[in-house]
Amino acid sequence: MFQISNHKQNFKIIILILLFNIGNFLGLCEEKAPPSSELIVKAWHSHGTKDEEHFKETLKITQQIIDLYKDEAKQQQASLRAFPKTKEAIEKVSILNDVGTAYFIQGECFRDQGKIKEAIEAFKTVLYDYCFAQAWDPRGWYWKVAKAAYESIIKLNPEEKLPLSSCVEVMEKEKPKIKVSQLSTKLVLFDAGKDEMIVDYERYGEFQNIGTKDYKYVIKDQKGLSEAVGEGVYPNTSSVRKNPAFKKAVEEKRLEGELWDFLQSPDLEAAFFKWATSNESQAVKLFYTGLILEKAGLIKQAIKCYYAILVHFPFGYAWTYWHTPWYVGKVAMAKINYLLKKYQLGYKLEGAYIRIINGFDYDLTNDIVVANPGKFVRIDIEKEKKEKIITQDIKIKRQLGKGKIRLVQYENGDWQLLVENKPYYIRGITYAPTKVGQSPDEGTLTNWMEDDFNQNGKPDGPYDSFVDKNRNNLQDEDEPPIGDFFLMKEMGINTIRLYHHPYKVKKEILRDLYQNYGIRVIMGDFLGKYALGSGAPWNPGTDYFNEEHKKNMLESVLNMVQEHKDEPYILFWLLGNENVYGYACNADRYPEDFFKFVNEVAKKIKEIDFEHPVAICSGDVLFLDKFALYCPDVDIFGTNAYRGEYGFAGLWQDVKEETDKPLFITEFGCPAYAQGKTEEEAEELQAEYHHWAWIDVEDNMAFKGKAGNSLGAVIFEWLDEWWKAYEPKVHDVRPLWAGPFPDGFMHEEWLGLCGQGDGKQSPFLRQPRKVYYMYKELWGRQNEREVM
Amino acid sequence: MKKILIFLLMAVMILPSILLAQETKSKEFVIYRDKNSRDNHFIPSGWMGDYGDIKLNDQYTQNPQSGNTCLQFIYSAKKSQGQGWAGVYWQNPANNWGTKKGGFDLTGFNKLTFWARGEKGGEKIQKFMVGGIKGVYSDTMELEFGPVELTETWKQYTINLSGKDLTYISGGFCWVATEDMNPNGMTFYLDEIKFEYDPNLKPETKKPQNMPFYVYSDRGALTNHFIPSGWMGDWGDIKFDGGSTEDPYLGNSCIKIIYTGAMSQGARWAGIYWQNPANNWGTVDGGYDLSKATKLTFWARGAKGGERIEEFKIGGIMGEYSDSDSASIGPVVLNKEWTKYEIDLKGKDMSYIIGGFCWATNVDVNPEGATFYLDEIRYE
Repeated sequence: MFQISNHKQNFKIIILILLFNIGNFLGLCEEKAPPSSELIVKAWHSHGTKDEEHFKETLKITQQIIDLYKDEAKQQQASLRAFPKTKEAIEKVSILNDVGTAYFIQGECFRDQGKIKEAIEAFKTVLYDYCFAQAWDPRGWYWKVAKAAYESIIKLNPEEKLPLSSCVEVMEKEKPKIKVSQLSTKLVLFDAGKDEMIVDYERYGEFQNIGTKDYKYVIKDQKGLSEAVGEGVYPNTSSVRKNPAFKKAVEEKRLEGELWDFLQSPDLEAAFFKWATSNESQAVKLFYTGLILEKAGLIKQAIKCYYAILVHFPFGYAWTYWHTPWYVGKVAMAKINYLLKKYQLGYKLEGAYIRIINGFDYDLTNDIVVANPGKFVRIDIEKEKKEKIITQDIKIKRQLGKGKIRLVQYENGDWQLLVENKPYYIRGITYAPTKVGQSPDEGTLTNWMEDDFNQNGKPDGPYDSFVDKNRNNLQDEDEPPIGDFFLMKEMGINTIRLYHHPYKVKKEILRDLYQNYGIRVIMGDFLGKYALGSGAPWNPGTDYFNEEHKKNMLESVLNMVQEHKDEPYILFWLLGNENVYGYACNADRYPEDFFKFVNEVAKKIKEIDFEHPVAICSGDVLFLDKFALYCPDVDIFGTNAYRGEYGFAGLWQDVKEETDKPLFITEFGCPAYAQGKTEEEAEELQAEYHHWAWIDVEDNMAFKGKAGNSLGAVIFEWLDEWWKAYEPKVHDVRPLWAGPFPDGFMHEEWLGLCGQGDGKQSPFLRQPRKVYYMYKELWGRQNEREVM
Repeated sequence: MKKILIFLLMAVMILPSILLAQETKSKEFVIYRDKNSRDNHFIPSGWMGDYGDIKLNDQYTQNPQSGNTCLQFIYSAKKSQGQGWAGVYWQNPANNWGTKKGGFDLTGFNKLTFWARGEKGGEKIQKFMVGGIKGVYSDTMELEFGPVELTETWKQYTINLSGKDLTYISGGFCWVATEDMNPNGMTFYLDEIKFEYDPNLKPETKKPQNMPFYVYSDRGALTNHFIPSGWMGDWGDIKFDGGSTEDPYLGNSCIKIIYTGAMSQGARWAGIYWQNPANNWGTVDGGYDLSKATKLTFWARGAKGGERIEEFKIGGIMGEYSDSDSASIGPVVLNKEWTKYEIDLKGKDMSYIIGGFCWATNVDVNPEGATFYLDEIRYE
């Protein structure tokens, strides 16, 4: 449900779009004033380059916007009492957004020239005259210009006196509110319930219509069930209030503060009380209460919480940051399976499933939920470990492709990718060794295939990086350059995911990557995402009805295939990058037409290349039903999925049931930074997240007794990229969006398996994190088993 | 001589105590005695709600309870300001809504008494209040009393203030009436409003309420408890009619709720808590002891059928004074016909409930909004 784009690529695209728009702009309207939307694109582009000439140009363009549109912007500002919240409402005041942004850019431009007084004045104008302006971040959200201006003023002069205005008040309000209790506590349950982990639900009620849309559990003895489940687990709402520690926490005011902030509080006792008595929907309340119990090490009570969701509220939902539905029951089920496996509790949850018919769109009203909470069944863990499925007798029933790289489906429905007749498990990574200080926002990002800062004739990242073993941020004598390709090979990576545009691909590097390091390439085309390949302007972006756009995209894809199809490094082709979420393309509004076009492209690829399968890169399971319907010629369903440390929560089963196609994860990852944790703890959490996510990838491969359609996954990403939270020279820790990560937030500059230390030795220094060594060991063991 | 000295010493020590006790016994702090009485404190300046519906004669001379004058209030219930309710606060200084310092320290008093009568009898005052003004200078307590149905003859009422913090009171007295309860308006009289001390008075403890205990039976019914005051989320999307005559399930009226789903506050959801006292989010002592209840039942129907209410709920308000428990059902997809629903309360601690009833829904499951009706909400 959680999505993220391939940021590096995004910004490359943006630059191209900017260039395109500028081209358009220059030939435009001599008579009519240019639209503010075009001017602002031009201003951002000019602002990307920091030299005297561009400073002048930036100020000139931004002033033009201000002169032309300030009156209209002021009217729009006057019409508002608060920040518009919906996309439509924000776009309705686009003039205000552009003028506010123009002043903001002026502020930054003055700041970059060292003209602090002028910079502060420009930022203040945003704050006092155009407070409700918002600007679009191509990564998928609007940001508040006044907030950034306010922060910039404080940064430039912490003593600056800001007279109170409605906007300043808003900014003040947006400052962190009451910090929730930071007291470190241990949670001890007052009433753990009469039943230890497995609650005898049949004793207290009746399961009705199991496995149908009319499923429900009718409680016959609420008192008895409450006593059985204990504190914090539905329907027991009383025990927590009777807990003396609860009363104490109330008296000590440790429950004060925002509910969601308690998820990061070390005061586990307060966090538990706060959530168990919260007014969130029952399913959400139970899920997060379970999460806190899990943190507190009360695993059995946490499982009770999660299972209560399956029993009572399998239809529960919440919304992600991007307002896509998040079905809590499915995640709760994944959590139970994860905990049972991780802690080897001697049970498995058998027969449980939640199917959301029509659940692959944004519309909840058409959802039909079919649920079966399943039952806990005792297992002999040692026996299960020893059991192996005999695969020799299972015959292939279907084959996709005839070349050396093909897909096979066995009689039991499981899928495998075969490379030269051997199963190939994708152990992939996205590779973008961005030098600290570079940023696509500022137009300073260069092509890693060409970067040669030490001028030794070789690209820096792949061949000249070194491991800073003692993490002193220096290259010591015993830390020779060994290169990322070698490090990746050592770790066990066998695949990288790469797009053939907008930067030029240097084939000789990829040939070397394959020949000397055994790493293959999944080669992709954006297929109109971010308007790339379609020839469309950023706004309104690629139109999948537009014949000209379609012609351009097809040409782009076929050029890629022609260029690389005979190269040994190609594993298969990849179309798009979560286009279903939109952003400079209309696949989100017209998914049927998008998928029809994808299928058309897949067919054309196969007319000229018989050797390689074709995959799509989608966004979680959004519009999966439509993909199933309109993409019969796409061989593999690939998708970006950031779901949690418990893995991918039924994603495999959904894809199997809806498409019967093989699946691979095109992106997943976890930051190595978590608020309130030490560097070491955060690395540990990152490693653990990856470990269990990967176990889920592996458990769903062929002949493992689960979905059997997993081909592997691509990790996001190799190296931290410091530009992602706006200041490319600072390793920013600001949370960008809430999600299922160790501290509940995405810290995008920390997704690397390797860090860049203090950044001074970038792009050469590598500090491989615990997760690197975790994979090295895990995959090393698996390789041994495969050989055996 | 010694005996005389001891006697004098005892007299010196004991006499003031006796005098003090006598003074305390007779101690009173008058809000209204007679027009222009020197004893009067607080000004009836805080006209609220449909203030245009209120007329005050503060020197009404016919049949005062005592002295020469009493207060006459005429409430027309014409909804001049479209509110459906009106009331008057006695403030100090006049018009002080917590913005100025001016409250009295009434420590030492433990009750407020007043006399009241209706013009015809049967006039309903939704509540009388002491304290409750909030602002920079907030009252240190808030207490509601009512609803009260007035008699044609004078009757004295007592509000028990024992155990309450009276150190700062700027809103000495207040009455609130609603158009719901008095659709044709009413005339009523007040006299001899004063704070007093009663050494025998003990703090009021909540007694378990007898069942059935209504949240809503009919518009303006005195048996109604809790106020639908806790509008949440996109409160601007809600239209509430507590006296709809569109096919009530029982009696003359039902509750009609229109949720437009327009996202006025950008929250995407909305709901209403029925609270006691009004707007109590756990900040003041209130509520009822509903320990005898084993379930809450209510009837509901949708205007079209298919309207989805995510949750019907009781309790769950958390604060300094929290509900003792919570229970809920949902989601509920409403039928076009009246349907009875039930929230099981067995095993729940219902000893302190300030959030008597609640519904919540959202735009995602009602993209076109929802119109629905509720009736006969009661604890059993």
